[in-house]
Amino acid sequence: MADVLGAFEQAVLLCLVRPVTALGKEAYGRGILTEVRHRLGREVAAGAVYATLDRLEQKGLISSELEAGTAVRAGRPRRCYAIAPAGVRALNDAKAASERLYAGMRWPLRSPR
Amino acid sequence: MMSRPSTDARPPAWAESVLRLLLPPRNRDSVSGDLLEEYRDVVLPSRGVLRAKLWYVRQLVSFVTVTSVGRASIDWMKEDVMFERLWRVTLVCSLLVAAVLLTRFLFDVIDPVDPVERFLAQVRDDYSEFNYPRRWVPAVAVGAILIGGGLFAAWRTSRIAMGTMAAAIASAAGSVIYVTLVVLVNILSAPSPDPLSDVPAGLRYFGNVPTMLVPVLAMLGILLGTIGGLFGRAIHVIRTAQSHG
Repeated sequence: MADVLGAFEQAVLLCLVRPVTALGKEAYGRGILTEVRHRLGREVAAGAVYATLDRLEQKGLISSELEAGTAVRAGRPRRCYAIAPAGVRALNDAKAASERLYAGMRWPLRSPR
Repeated sequence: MMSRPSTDARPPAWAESVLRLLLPPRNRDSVSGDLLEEYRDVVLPSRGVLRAKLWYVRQLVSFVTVTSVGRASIDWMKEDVMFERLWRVTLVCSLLVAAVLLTRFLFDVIDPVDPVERFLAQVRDDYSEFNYPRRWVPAVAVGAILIGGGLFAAWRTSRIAMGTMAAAIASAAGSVIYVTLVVLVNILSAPSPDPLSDVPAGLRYFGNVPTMLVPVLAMLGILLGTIGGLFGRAIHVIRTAQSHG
């Protein structure tokens, strides 16, 4: 099994698997940023999301390609992302690792007496 | 009420420039485009101009990391013609300042002047030692280098600030080189250790090292570099006018 993904990496990858927001369905940086904020339920720094996208792409878990820009973005291209098969496997591994970690625990957890 | 997204509104130009500098080249257009789109579509209509600009600056700050700043610095050094010119002028001036100071130092080593004697002579209003060229020639030479460096840097870049920066860096770097070499000489030429002293022999000579020279020369560099920069800028303006006339 490769390195287990961090929580933030999982959140970003999950946005590409099943986006919930309308903008998130357009899998470019801005849409992913909106989706990650929605999914985590808090404000997220843009720099953190783009750094994570770069890292995931370097690991081969996602791929990207440029698409033409629109007037509202001054014609600057959009970089659209797609999850790679390795990314799906990494998410499955992360979920399995998390389940192993919590195996045998009664939910919700209580403080030991 | 949400107004229609504007395609004219722009975030602060300086923030966009810094953002693009911080981003790796492959993401420059796409990421700055994403933020511009968010700025125009959502942030500006909902928050107003001032808060929207603050939002953009906050986004910019989130891209500031050690890696991004390091990469931006390297990219700037590689690509920026202004930096290229500034760097060359500064390097040459630094070496010249160090060379002048070291020459003066060598003269002092060959023919030392007792600082106590010099002080007492000055108390007696006896400044005859300043008649010796080695007392004032280095000062004039360093001044000329700093003014010349400031002039050249400002002339080539058309910015007075570049002249100030070139001379300030050159004076500080040149004096650091000089002080470092003097420290090494002090250590290497230290006499045998004094058995009654706890201080290592070489370190006792640090009192002779003119460490205050670095900030003093740096301040002088700022002053003289600015003076040179004013002349350099004037030359640039005159030559540009001549070439267009």
